[in-house]
Amino acid sequence: METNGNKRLVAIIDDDRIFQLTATKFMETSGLVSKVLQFPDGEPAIEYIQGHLDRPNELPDLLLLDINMPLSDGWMFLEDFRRLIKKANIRIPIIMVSSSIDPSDLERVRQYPEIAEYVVKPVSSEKWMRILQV
Amino acid sequence: MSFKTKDQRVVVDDDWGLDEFRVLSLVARQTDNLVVLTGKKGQIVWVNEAFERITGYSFEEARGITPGMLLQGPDSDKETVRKIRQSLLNGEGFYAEILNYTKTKIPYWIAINAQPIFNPQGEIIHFFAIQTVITDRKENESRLIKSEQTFSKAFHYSGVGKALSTTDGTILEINNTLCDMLGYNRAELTFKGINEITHPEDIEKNIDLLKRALKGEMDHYTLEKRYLHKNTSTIWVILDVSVVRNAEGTPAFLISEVQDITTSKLMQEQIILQKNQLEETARRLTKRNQQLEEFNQIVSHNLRAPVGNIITLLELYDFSKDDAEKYDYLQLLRETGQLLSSTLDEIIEVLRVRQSPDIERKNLKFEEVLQKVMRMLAAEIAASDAEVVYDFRHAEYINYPPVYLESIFLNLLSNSIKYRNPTRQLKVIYQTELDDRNVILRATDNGLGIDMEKYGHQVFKLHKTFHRSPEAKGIGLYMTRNQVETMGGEIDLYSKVNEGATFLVRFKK
Repeated sequence: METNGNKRLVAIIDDDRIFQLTATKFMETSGLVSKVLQFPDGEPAIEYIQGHLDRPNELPDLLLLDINMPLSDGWMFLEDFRRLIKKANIRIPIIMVSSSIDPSDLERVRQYPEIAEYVVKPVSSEKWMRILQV
Repeated sequence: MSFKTKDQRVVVDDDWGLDEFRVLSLVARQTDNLVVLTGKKGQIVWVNEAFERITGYSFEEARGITPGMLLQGPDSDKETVRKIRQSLLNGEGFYAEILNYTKTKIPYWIAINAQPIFNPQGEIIHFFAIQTVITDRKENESRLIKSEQTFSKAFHYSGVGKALSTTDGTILEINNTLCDMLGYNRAELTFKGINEITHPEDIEKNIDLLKRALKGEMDHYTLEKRYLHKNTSTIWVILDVSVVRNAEGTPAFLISEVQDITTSKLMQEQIILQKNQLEETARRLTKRNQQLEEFNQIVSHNLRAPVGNIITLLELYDFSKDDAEKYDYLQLLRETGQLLSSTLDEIIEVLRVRQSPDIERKNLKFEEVLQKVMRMLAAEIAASDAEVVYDFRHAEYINYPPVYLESIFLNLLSNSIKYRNPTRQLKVIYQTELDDRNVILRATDNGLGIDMEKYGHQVFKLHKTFHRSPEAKGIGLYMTRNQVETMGGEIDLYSKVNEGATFLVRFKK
């Protein structure tokens, strides 16, 4: 359990506006999160991380990543993210949060050791508490 | 066995004496033939040198013994021996061929010409025999007989159908295998023309080859052809024809070798048929599978996501103590419900398209349909100052469902307008062309284009957009693709960022 003085910075990469809203709400009420960064797809998220490499305390402590997004989707983000962390020595755990129950997506998740966990939407308040402790 | 009696008589005077005999024996001594003079009972009274040399017996050893006793052995033909003996008893001349043995028991074939010699009283006093060694001839004969037997066996008992025919195709000899293959007996086929049992469509087939073979351009040729069975069914064969020439080199006969390949031919045809069916099935299944995967994604993303949101929003609504916040959640619930409803409408529309490939087609003029769509989009075209040009000379008409063609033009044109490049005037070109299977519609614009490397795999999918534009909903191209594919066509996109996009729609003719 994190202490209040050590609240986490969480980034949500998801095109679903309602999910962004509800997820932020849950995180705010959990008391475990200091700030939530919202990105509608992978590209601006990569840009943000790249732009804050010299300010590690502004980098997210946890990434919540959707699969299906227009433009840069979850898989494209992961490829870009891999290239990025190869150059910069950072480590950010990723939790994939998707409504997909497609077995081919689950199979693909296994090919990315960067993904700490795969969570199927909808995410209940209990699930949120567990996720935020990753 | 070779044996003949002779009627001619040789008569000598009583005083046929030693002088004349000496002259005769001088001549006889010189010949390579064996010469034997016997008494009337057959006992040797004189032999020449050739006799001594060839049989290995000296005259001294042979004297007084009949040639038969001296020379015949285990394989001398018994019947010939009996006949010779009979002729001697009857006192008649004879010709005989018989196997004799030398002193060292080496067998040799001999042809005997024997003649009784009578005195004036009509009594036999001698037999005079000239013998010729014919071992070589006999051996050749036996080899010939053997090879003829071998050939005949090879011809008649072969598992391959064989026929001997004249150069104009009249059957002279035919073996059982070929008779069985064609369902006739041998008598029915002998002297029949080959064309009478050939499939009518294949009669011409080997005429050219046969002409060339008869001319001597080749000694044999092979072809696949069809015969007709007696029961009128078709027999597929591989036929090999060889030309047999006489000593002058003129074609004398044709030897045909025939292998029945009907079973493998039928199997081949069936395999090809099945292969085609399987390929068609595989193609349909692949497409069906792609559609199912797509629907799986649609269900996962476009349906499960808003439903999940509803559940979450309800949970938050229950937790909330604040009325203003509760009201916000209700607003969001309404929004989600509307989204879900419109997504369902879209999916139902797609399914409706997919399930109606039999929708009524009409002969449509590309120009008229495009102009109708341009009137529908008149406001957008005017607002964006777009220039639309077209050239439908190469294919003016298409037999297609009117609603679909309208919808295709509507989506293509509104896409071009939506994603125009703001720094230059939008120009859209529509052209048609023909290939052997399709009527092709080419739509080119000079708009923003799509990064194909990044998004190529997502184009034409539901709710995928590639522009950060509030208008991008990602339904148009998905619907267009469905309408095109349901009618058996294809749609492809070629594009470069900032240069523009070209859509190729292939309508199956």
